[in-house]
Amino acid sequence: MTPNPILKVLSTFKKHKVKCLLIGGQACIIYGAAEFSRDSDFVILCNNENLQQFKKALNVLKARLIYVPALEVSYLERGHACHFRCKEKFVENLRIDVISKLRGCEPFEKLWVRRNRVALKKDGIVIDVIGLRDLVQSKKTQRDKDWLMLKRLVEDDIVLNKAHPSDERVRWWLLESRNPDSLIMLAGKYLKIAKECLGDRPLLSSAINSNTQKLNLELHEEEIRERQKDIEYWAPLRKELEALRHNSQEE
Amino acid sequence: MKRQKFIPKRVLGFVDEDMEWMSLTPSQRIKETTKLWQLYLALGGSLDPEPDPQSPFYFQEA
Repeated sequence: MTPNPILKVLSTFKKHKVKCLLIGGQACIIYGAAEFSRDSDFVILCNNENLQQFKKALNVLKARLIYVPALEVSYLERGHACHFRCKEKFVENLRIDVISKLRGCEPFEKLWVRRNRVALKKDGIVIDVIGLRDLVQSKKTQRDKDWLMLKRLVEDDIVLNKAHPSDERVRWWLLESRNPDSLIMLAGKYLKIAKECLGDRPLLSSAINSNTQKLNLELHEEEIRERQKDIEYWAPLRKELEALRHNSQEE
Repeated sequence: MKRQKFIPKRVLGFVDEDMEWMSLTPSQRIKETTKLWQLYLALGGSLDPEPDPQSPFYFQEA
């Protein structure tokens, strides 16, 4: 039987004690927002010891660096991602992307504490996956597909837990849901909490007033602002990458 | 991770397949996605990621 290539990567990382968390499309599968993805993205603890273990795992997967920057603490600490392509059997051509900082998210150590663990008894693997709330935060990027996924992640959590949610969970839904119908429903059902959240998310005023049209517009504007923040965050990093790429071509 | 509760009712905005998928536990979802991988690879699917020009990670490989 052909193994799941993502599980092969995960088991190799585990074997080499690489401290990292599964993020991106594979994490979305675990939380029920997607069914299939070829992404293999990780947020990794950035220190020399862990990167050494990571390099050993990459060797086993016959993975080579396919773009700048090099796998170095200094680049990862500045927010760059490193990209690899595997050549080992069962993972041939699979790309692995690693990063150590996610824009808008807490540092790795906090993400690690808040992670979820999924045990696959048959495969003998325990998967360390980024927590749902951190995953949602990490999806506030400049990419269309991330916003679709973000919306679905929160909606799934509402559907799965709407019977007896804690106040704290309702607060999170009110602050993160991107579905006007859900926001209006939540604001109606949990008015007191919705009012408490107004300072952090003023558009909840439209949800409280059941003004769908205005709420839709405000959700769109909120998304545009977040996308712009992401573009601004990446601008200097992209510039640096361009210079690195230029230098590597000259060498 | 805790086992998700089974969701018997269809919810507005979700099709039955979505509800079915959501009702699985995380480990069951991985098992199911493994089956999709097997089918995908049997049909000759590549492990290359889809090009995503919107991504700040996007680049043309040499």
